[in-house]
Amino acid sequence: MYEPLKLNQGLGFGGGKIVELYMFFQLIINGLVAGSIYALTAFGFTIVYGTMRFFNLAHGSAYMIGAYLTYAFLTKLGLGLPAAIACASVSTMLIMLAFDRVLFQPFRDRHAHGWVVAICSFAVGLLVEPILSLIFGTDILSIRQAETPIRYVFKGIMITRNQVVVLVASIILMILLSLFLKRTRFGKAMRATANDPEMADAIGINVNSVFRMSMALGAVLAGAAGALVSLEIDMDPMMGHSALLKAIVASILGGIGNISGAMFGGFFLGIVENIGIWKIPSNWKDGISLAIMMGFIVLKPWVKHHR
Amino acid sequence: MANFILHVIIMMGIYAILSLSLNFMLGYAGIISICHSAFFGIGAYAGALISLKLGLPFVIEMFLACSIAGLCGLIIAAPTLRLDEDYMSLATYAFGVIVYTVLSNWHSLTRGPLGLPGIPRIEIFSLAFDQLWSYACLVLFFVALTIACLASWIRSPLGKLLMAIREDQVAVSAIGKNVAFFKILATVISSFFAGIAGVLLAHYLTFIDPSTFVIQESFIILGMVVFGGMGTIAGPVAGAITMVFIPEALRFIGLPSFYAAHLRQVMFSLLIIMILLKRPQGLLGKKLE
Amino acid sequence: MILLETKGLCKNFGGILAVREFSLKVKRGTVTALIGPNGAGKTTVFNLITGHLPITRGEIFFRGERIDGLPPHRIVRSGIARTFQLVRIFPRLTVLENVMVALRTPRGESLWESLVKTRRLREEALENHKKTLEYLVQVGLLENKSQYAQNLGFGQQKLVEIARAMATEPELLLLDEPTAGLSQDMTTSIQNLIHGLKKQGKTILFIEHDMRVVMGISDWIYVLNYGEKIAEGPPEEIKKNQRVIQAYLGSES
Repeated sequence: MYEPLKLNQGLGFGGGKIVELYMFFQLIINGLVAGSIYALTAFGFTIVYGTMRFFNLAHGSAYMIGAYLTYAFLTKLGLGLPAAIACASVSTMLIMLAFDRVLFQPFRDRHAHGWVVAICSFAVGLLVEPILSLIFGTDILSIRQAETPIRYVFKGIMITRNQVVVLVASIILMILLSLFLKRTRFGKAMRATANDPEMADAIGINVNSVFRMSMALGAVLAGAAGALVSLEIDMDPMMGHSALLKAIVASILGGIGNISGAMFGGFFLGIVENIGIWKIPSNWKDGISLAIMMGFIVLKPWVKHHR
Repeated sequence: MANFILHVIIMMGIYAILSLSLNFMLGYAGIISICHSAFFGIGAYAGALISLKLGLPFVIEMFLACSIAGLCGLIIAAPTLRLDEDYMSLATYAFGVIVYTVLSNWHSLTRGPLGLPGIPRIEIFSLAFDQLWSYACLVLFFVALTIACLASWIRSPLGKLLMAIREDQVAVSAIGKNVAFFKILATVISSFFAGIAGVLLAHYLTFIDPSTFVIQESFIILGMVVFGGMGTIAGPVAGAITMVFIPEALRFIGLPSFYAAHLRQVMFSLLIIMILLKRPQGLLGKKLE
Repeated sequence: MILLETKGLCKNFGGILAVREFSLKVKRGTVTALIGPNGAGKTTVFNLITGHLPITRGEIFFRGERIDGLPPHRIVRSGIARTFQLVRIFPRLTVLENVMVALRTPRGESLWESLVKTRRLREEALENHKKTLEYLVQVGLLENKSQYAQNLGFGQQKLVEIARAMATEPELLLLDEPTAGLSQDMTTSIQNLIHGLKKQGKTILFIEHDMRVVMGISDWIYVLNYGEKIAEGPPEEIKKNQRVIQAYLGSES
């Protein structure tokens, strides 16, 4: 009976050089799986920031709602897993759109300062957390099974079925969305708006529907990420905050506003974290990824200046 | 009943100091900062550790702890001076979480999540402040001191200069003033006073742990400032009074603690959202016509 | 005596040479104009002189000493003040405060003295208040002194900016399109203001598009096109200069 490897958990033993090498690859695999979730979340966050210059601090809540709704659909409504994930993602999108309509849109109409809307989105995040706690309780919930079949084993390196599902689903979603942005007319409209909203408006693009679509896409990606991640880790009402942090760090690492950069940043973050906890105790993890981000933010202008 | 009122007064006072200090750098100097919880926490831990390990007289302890908090203000301000709004908020956010992570994980210094218990009561010139009413007086004294100092600076040419920096930094450099220096100065002053609040909290609760200083606390303080009205003296105080009153009132009417904590967050976020939508200048803020 | 001099000033914006080999000399007590079609690099030259943009190559001398590479506030302290093309006043401060904040206030900015309000600080404040009122009188804004700057008309905001620049007690004033977007009346006021400043012994270097103003008050003119100096001389010569006429005609078509 195998215990599937939890995300971000390293194997705790040392050993000979060859064992270390295999462990290294194992951690890379774990990192890619975790990274795919980070990339998916960061993708959603960046779409919203890129088109609307809006730091949606409620993005982590969307992630959390996705996870909790998946639990609800799975256990209370008895839906199958794929259906539960899909419904959870779509529901998250609808909820986020409602928040947008009622709360964020008025600020856009008023041309309010960027950080005013950001505070408002943070307040929304603060609102969602206790509501979920009141509905679902504050205990840790779990839908991941203790036994999942191992998909592939190679000299001791293993990957479970759930991990494969997470990795593949995330990558497919990201590919689909990238194609949407690159190939379709609406996707091009979104990119034009991200580039220069005033110009986009001037050439007839309906900027408001671009904004709404961005919020929708961002939310559905976050919800999907939360839904998928619930296959691998347990849920608690604080998970949204951690997810938001990762999304922000990944987006910054990839260059804020840059979608492919955000994806790269997500995978990079996942791998670095997993390799990092090999040697460093895991509770320093958040601090490390943030220190990296801070270093990045602070050194970037300095590097640019001295090019 | 009287004890409850005194407790509420003490908490209102502590948060008033926090809001006033944040308002100084945010509302007057226009420096975006969401790491005030970090200065609060550093002040609290510095004060606690100094009194636990070194047993220095209170006045010296207060001064040292606040200086350490001020130093942290310098540490975050100096490298982030030239960042634009978005990046600045992210950098301060990251700083806030990093400080929390350090406080939770540096077990040898802070005992991590176990916290620091047994912080002694304050004694100044062998006058012990171990009664609720005397502690409330002490807190109110520091609130008055904070208001006096900050208002004095705000009403001076220094204050006007900071407001000018808030309006247009490039223009300020074009009139020959060193913007970087004054921004750092504002941050250090702000964090110094936040340290005062931290020390007062530590000695009041006699026990502190990192969970009080999570990054969400920064947003709560920010919320108090925004709600009460940025750029005024009375605004942050009003914001602190309101935001402390509500959860305490809920607790008083007997709501079980579990619900109270969640409801506090819900009410808090609703208040913020409503004030931003309906009256963005805050309760006591002025709209310039 | 040469107050301001640039030698071979160049500015490269990631491949685009906005300013090439620009050399100028401004004599003390004169009014010099910097003209050229839109996008010629005039404001860039200003930004290079005041230190708001780093130079790519070249040297800038003020009163014989090199100032390129210094931060803007130091350059201003040494005696150069400027206004901006799109006014940069402090919207939520009053007109009085806008100008007063530019004065030297060593006591007002000291942490200790502003805390305890020493007598010297109050004396300095009174002194500065008086000086500010004088500047406001000079630009004709005395009755607006308590209005918030954001509520003023565009032309009045320009005057606030000029008063603020004057308040730094500069030797050299850099004015970026001081009459742009103004009515004829205001333009004449500004013209008279510049003339008055010259009489006070100030040196002026200004960017302008209004040729009547340029020809009317300049002692010397520099013409810029695509970042390069294409002509310099007194107004009578520039008026007849073929290259200058071509540059303007070319840009108009």
